[in-house]
Amino acid sequence: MKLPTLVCPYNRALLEGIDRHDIVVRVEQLPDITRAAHDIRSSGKNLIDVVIEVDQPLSDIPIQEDWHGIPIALFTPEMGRFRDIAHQVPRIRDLRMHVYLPAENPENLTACRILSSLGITCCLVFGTAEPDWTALSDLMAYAVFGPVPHAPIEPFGYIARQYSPDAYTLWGSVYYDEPGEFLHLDGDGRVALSSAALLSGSYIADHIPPASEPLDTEDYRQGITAWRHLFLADHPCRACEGWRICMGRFGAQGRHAPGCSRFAADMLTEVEQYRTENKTEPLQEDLS
Amino acid sequence: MANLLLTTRCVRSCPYCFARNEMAQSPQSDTVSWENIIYLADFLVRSGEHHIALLGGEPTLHPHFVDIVLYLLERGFHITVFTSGVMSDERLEDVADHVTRIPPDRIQFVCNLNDPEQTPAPEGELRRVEAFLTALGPWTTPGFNIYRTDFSLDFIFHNITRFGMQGLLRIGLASPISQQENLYIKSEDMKNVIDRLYSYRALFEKLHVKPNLDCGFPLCYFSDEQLGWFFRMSGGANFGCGPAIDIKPNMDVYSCFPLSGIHKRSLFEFDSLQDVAAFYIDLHDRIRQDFPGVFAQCATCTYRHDGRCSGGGVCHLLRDAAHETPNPCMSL
Repeated sequence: MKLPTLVCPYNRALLEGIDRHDIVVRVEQLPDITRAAHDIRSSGKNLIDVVIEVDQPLSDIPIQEDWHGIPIALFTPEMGRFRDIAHQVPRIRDLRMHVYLPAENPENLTACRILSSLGITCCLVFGTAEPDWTALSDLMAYAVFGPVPHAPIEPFGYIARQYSPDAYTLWGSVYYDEPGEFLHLDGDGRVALSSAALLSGSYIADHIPPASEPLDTEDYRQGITAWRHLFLADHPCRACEGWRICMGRFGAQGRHAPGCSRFAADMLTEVEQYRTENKTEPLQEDLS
Repeated sequence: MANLLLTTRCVRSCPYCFARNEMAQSPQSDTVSWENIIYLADFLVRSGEHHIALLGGEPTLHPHFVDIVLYLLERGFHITVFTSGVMSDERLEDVADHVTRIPPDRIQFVCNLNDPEQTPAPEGELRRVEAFLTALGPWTTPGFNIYRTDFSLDFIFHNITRFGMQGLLRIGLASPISQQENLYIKSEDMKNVIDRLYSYRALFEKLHVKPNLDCGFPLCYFSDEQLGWFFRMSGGANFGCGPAIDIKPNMDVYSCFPLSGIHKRSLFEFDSLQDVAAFYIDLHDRIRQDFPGVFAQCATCTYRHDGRCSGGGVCHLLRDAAHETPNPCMSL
């Protein structure tokens, strides 16, 4: 059985106590990207990604040569003006960097298209605010059926690749936030099922058990099937035609709306078409 | 090559403007979106096309003009910008700051120059054109549209020398448009135009400026001596007529401004630039079946038959035909 990947802060003592799990490490400062990657790799652990959230636009970030070869998930509020990033495009393209942008800002949908068309992988982050669902549908169609090669736009690329009519598509993986596949640790090693649970202090364990002992608490079992509660609670998502591909990811945040439902249904249609066409060329590499 | 209209707004009102019909029908807010820029870039890449022309209106009026240029360069395109050179000081500073870092073989401006004496401009316009040429002369080729037979080229040669512009002069014949009146060169005046153009040969040679004839010049109106000179100076000459592929901000497409009212389509209907060109070549061919050329002798002309001359521009043919048959395009 594959061990869940651990998402944890950059804390040497904490990291030293982890055995055999793959690691996604959260850093606070840009210089820590290189340090964290070096520490994790030199200890023999498998580094999945270095996650950093910044509050300045991508165009203001001084891209470093020594980030080369390090998988980086950069959460930024916006791309900035293209003129301010144009000179950095070749350097960013050569990195293993994924740029995460909030979906509720319409300019970020355009930014995703620009960056993707230039070979830079990007990913939309859905918060609590309502995005422009129509523009999002257009972007999703571009991501899945764009006429010329371009970098992935997540989560659409992941969904198109992973979709199966016989299984749920757990696209929280692109955010390292899928209960069952990822566990989130705080600086003291306490374990939460999701980033939201971590923020609210809802822990399922005080520490990660040894790799030989699976985490099998009642909280854990309930957490990884939390989506079932939407049916029990008679939530509007229960009857949504896009359920199979959304699984309440939008609606469960109190945002279920006609636009959301239509978007999810469109997405389902698109990925089924993609699957039917049985494209042989890889749409994009898997984020993980 | 595809011509993309970044905006339909323009800062000038030239008396010969052959885009005014189309521009007048476009909303003032008509500027191309990033989504359509990317769509077109993908479309051209898929078509194997790596050159794009940006025009308007005045393309530098687009609020993201510099960003669009930098984006298209990053996509690997070579860019030609057709401009009046008239822009605010702030915009000029912005454009120059970025473009002067780009080699002239990646981006080139064609600045459409009007004779300040024959085509008077509002106060301040000339100063802005000079400011543009001062900043970007080495990136710029002059363009001149002939709309009267007593035209002068002296001011252009003066500008080429003064501003270090590229040694190529793009010479166009002002074309007629339907539905509105504009000043243009009538078929019967073309011989005079060619003779007058040829009278400037000493200046062309002295300043090493290549004459580059735009579409619509009829081959038979050039003497052998004139033809020889044009070929020696420029390495060739164009006696054809498009079709130029003009794409509006909303991705409507037509085959050059004067014909914008005929068979306008959407780029979204086509799979490649070759498909668009084939569509409009077919349209031109059908027009020429009924109207072979601007002169009666075009119908039996060897040059036209062999494809070395188009018998003038299609826009002239339709203009002439309209006098005989109201709306001659309806049957196409």
